[in-house]
Amino acid sequence: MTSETMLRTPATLTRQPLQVRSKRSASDCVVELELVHPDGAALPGWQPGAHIELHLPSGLSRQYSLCGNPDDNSSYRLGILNDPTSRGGSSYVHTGLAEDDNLEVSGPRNNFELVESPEYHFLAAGIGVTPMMPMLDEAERRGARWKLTYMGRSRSSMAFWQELAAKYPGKIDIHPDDEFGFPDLGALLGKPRDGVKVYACGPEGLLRALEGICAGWPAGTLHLERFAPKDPAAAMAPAISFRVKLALSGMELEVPPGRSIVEVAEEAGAPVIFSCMEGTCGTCETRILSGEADHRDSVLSDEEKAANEMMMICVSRSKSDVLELEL
Amino acid sequence: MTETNILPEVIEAPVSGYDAFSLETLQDVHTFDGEQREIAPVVYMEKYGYYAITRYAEIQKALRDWRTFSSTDRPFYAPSAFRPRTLILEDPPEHTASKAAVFKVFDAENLAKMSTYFKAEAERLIDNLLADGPAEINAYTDLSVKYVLKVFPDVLGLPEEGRELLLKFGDAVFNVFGPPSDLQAAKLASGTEAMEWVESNTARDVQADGGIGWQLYSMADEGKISEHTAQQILKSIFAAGFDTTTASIASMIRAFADNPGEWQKLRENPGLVDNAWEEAIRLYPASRYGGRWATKETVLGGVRIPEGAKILTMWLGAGRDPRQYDAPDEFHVDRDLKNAHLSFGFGIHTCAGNQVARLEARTLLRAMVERIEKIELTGEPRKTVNYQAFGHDHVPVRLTPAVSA
Repeated sequence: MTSETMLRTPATLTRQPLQVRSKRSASDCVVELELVHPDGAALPGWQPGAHIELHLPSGLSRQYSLCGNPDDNSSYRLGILNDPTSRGGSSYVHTGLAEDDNLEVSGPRNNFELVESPEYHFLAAGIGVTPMMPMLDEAERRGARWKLTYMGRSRSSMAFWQELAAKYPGKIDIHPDDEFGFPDLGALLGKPRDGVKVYACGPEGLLRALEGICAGWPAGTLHLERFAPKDPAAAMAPAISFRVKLALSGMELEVPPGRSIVEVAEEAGAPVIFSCMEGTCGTCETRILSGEADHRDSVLSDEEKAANEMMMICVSRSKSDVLELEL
Repeated sequence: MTETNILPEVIEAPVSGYDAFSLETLQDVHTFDGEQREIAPVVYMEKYGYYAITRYAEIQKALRDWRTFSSTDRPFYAPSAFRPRTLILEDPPEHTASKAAVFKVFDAENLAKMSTYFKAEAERLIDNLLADGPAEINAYTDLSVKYVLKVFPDVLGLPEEGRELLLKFGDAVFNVFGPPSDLQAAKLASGTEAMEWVESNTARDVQADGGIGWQLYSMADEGKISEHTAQQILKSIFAAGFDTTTASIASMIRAFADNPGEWQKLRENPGLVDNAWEEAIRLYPASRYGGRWATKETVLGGVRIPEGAKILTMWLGAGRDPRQYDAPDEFHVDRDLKNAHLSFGFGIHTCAGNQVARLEARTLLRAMVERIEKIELTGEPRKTVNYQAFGHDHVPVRLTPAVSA
């Protein structure tokens, strides 16, 4: 064994156990976590928009935006939604994790930096508020003009809104659907103009609507953070909804963004098997009968992907509106 | 893929006089299976009339193509009480229902519960071993077996008494798959002692409410599987869940004892724990081969396999295939495994308990990394002699505790 044969460790592998200093309810479906170094040591620094990855005991990894103060290196603050469709990531945080527990963490990393601008319009829906919180402080520090439109199902479901409203009176526009209905996004943004950056985080439907509206704005106006898919390959492509026809089971199902074919098919009672949920073990390989797969696994070769005959339904999706599978 | 493209390059499988089951072979399976791998991707083992797939890419391809490489028959197959047909000898759609049931009892929710318990026990065991400073132990019996036979049977809700019989049962199960011999006869005789214990502990009425067995029988009540299948799955968990993990963990500790620099590397970067475990089982898989049969004539790696051929998939050798891995005989905790090895199999028959095995081993390794400064061999490790299983049953080491911070 020589040093030449040793492979470099990618920075993404670096993990450290952090301790849960506090766990509090921040709304009827969001918990707020504060993580600290078990020895009280300083944590790596970060900028607004950054996220960390939690490596849960089940083997699942999940990314969550940092929503605390970047100048405070003693702890990381997170807001985590209890997602009813979770396969054990957020539900573990909600029900299994306790104060003083240790949790493996890697990061922080930032794919959502706040670029310089004289004016910002922040739009958040639901748990999408978390990356916005440090951005508001930063925009304020830069002396920029800004406002936040914060949408959600109801005030009881929306985390941190009182804190934000108290801190920045007049700049926070709270929009619960049960009080005001879904907002007119076009009217909210106004006419296309220069010198404003739009930052948004929320469900895929909102982000797609904003992409449509901002198509007429100067290039570079819109900055989006999508709720992170679980693997990097999937993060490269936008996740959109599609329909999947299960030929053997005689079902047709909608696969929404953020959910896998495996999850949707299993829930509907179709016979599926899967194990790694990351496109590596080959357990869920399924034959394609019609439609075009959007391959995101690490098993198929480029030729096999192009052949469009088989797919790994735990991570791969569809390029066509309908995908028919031998399932 | 069209016939005309393939035909000109197709060769018949080279005929090999290899006896994969002789006592000489079983002493050093990596060397002997490795020699066959370097002959061709598929060889014909004349002595038994079976084919062997020897290389990484071809095994992976065969395991993915279950329509051509079926699991419903295999070399040396004869009905045996040690090897129920459920799961391992099934193809879809039967396999899908059984496999979905077993994956369900090892789902994220159950794993999260196990995780907390495994961690506490792993830490306790190592703290006890190191209570009086450096400890000289047999890493197989004093660490691996002690840990595995504590945590997993506890999760399954098994009685304390008789747990060691699980190892005898597993040892017999992994020797069924091979030709009759004195070795096989001795292993089966030893396993027979365990049979009664296994039968009585897989029965419906002894399963604790909420336990793994109870969950399986509940699925039978819901009509998802038959009650017979529930019992067979539970038996399969007994058969495959102990011999394998105890062997793998002991082998992993041997790998670290042989490579002190790798232990230091892991101590400096504990984020590599998961990868280190995968690398250890690439080097030392717990299972040496699997079995399939060809439902039609096919070509694999340019070699013709006739319809009806019975096949061994030699994945232990494939773990050291130089076409897949650089310096394959070396152990590197930071090796880029490109997300894959074949030590849990691949495709629809991927080891049903892989997530539990991974959780057990990673949890133990993490506890060790935090607590142990040095692992040194104090004698010669001994490999097990077994047809299908591979492992170490004697790994004498000295563990030096880390100075606590």
